[in-house]
Amino acid sequence: MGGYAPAFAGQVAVVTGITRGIGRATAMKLLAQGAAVAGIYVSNDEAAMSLREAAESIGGRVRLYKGSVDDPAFVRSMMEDVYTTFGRIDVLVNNAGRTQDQMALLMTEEQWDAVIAANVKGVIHASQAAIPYMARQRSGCIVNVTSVSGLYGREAQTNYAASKGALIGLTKLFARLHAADGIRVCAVAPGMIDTDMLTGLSESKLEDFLQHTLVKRLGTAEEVADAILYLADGRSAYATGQVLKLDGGFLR
Amino acid sequence: MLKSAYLYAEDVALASELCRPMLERGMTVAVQLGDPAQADRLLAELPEELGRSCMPVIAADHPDSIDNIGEIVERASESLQGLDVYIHAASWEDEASLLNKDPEGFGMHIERRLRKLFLYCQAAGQIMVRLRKGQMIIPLLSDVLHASGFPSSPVYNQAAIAFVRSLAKELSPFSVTVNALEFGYCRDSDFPSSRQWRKQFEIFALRPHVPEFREAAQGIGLLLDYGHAMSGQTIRLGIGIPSSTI
Repeated sequence: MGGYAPAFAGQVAVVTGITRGIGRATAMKLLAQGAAVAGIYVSNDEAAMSLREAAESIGGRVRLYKGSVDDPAFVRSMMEDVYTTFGRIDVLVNNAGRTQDQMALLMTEEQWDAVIAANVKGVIHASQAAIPYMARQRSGCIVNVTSVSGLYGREAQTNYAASKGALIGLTKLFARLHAADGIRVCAVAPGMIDTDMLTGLSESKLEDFLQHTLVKRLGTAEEVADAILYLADGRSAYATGQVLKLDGGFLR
Repeated sequence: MLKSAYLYAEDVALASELCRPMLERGMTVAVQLGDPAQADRLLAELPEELGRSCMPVIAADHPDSIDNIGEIVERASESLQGLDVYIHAASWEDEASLLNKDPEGFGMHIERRLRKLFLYCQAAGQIMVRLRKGQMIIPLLSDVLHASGFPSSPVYNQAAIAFVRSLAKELSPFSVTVNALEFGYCRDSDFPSSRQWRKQFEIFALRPHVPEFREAAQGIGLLLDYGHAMSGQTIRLGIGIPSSTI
C-alpha cells in the first residue's frame, strides 16, 4: 500500500523575505509538504533563528542567507549556492517587500526609490538568478507576492502600488517569456493580512478597510501561504501569468 | 473650458498625434521633448496654424530630480497661464526585447521610467492642487497585443495603472482627476487601409476596424470632454481588447 507523498517532496524552494509574516508561513508549509527551503532575509537574526528552530522541530531542511534582494551579486551567488547544495530549484516565492507610505505630493525621491528598488528590482534580480536553473530542469514555478494596492491603488501608496503593479506586469512578462522553458509564473494579491506590515495602521483606517471587505476580517499569513502553495504545485499546472486575489472580497 | 496642456513625450510621432486634438480645440500645448531636433520635427509635422499654439520645451540636460522637474513644469505653466491638462506619454517600448538585450540593465530602466512618471505627475499635481482643478492623462498601449507584433510594456503599464488609481484617490478632494488612456490596435499611416490588418487581429473581434493612430488619438477627446468627472479609470480605446489588468 502506497503512503501519502507530500506535494513538494524532493523539491527545493527559495523564499525571499522568509523570516516574517507571509514568507515565514509559506516556508513552514513548504517544509511540512516535504520541500527543502532556502530563504533570504535582510536583518532580523532573531527571527531567522526562530524560523530555523521551528523548521528543525518538524524535521525540515532550511538554509538561510542574510542579504538584500536589491543586490544582484548577492542574489546570484545565493541561488548558485542553493543549486550547488540541493541540486535543483523548483519554486521561487518573491515575497520580500517594503512600504514607505506618504501622500504623493509630499513624497520624497528617496521614499519612491527605496520602495521601487526593493519591490521591483529585487524581484527582477531573484527571478533572473533562479530562471536559468529552472530552465535547465525544464520545470519550475515562480510565485510573486503582489498586493491589492497593485490592482486597485491606495492613497498614500503611489510608490507601493506602482511597485506592486509592476510586479503584476513582471508576472505576465516572465510567464510569456519562459512558458516554453517549462516555467510557470503566477502571483497572489493579498488584501489586508494580519502581519507586521499593519503596525502603525490606525484603528479608523482598519475599520474603514473592514467595512469594505465582504468577510469583515483580516486575512492570515497562513491563508496566503496556502494560495502560494496551490499556485506552486501541480494542481495549477495550467495556470500561468495569473494573479490570484486574496482579499476577503475587498470592494475598492 | 480647457485652455492649456503640458505634454511630456519621448517620441515625436506620439507627441504630434496626442497634441493635435488639443490644438484643434484651440488649446495651447507645451510639449516637452528630448532635443531641439525633435522639436523641429514636431513643428514640421503639424499644420502651421496648429503649430502656432504649440510650445516646444527642451529639457534634455536636466537631471531627473524633484527640484529640476518642478521648475521645468512650473515655468511652462507660467507661460501657459495655467495648467488644465498634463499628459505623460512615455514611449511605447517592447520590454521583452529590452530584457533580452540587456538583462542586467532592465531593472534600472524600469526604475528610471517609473521615477519620471512619479516626478512629472508630482510636479503637475502641485500646480493643479494649487489651482484646484486639472486633469492628468497617462496614455498607454495595451500590453496584450504582443502576439500581433506590437511593442508590449506590461511592467510599465501595470505600474502606471496602479499609480493612476492611487494618485486619483489622493487628488480627488482638489478636483484634480487622473486617468489612464489605453490604446488598442492601430496602424501607421503608410498602411493604406485597415483591410490588411483585420485578419491578423481576429483574436479579440471578428475583422475589427483598425484605425490609423491619428484617428485613435482623437479618443483623447473623451477625457478632454468628460475627464473632469472620472478619475482612477483606465479608458480603453480599441475594439474587443480585454482589460490588461488582471
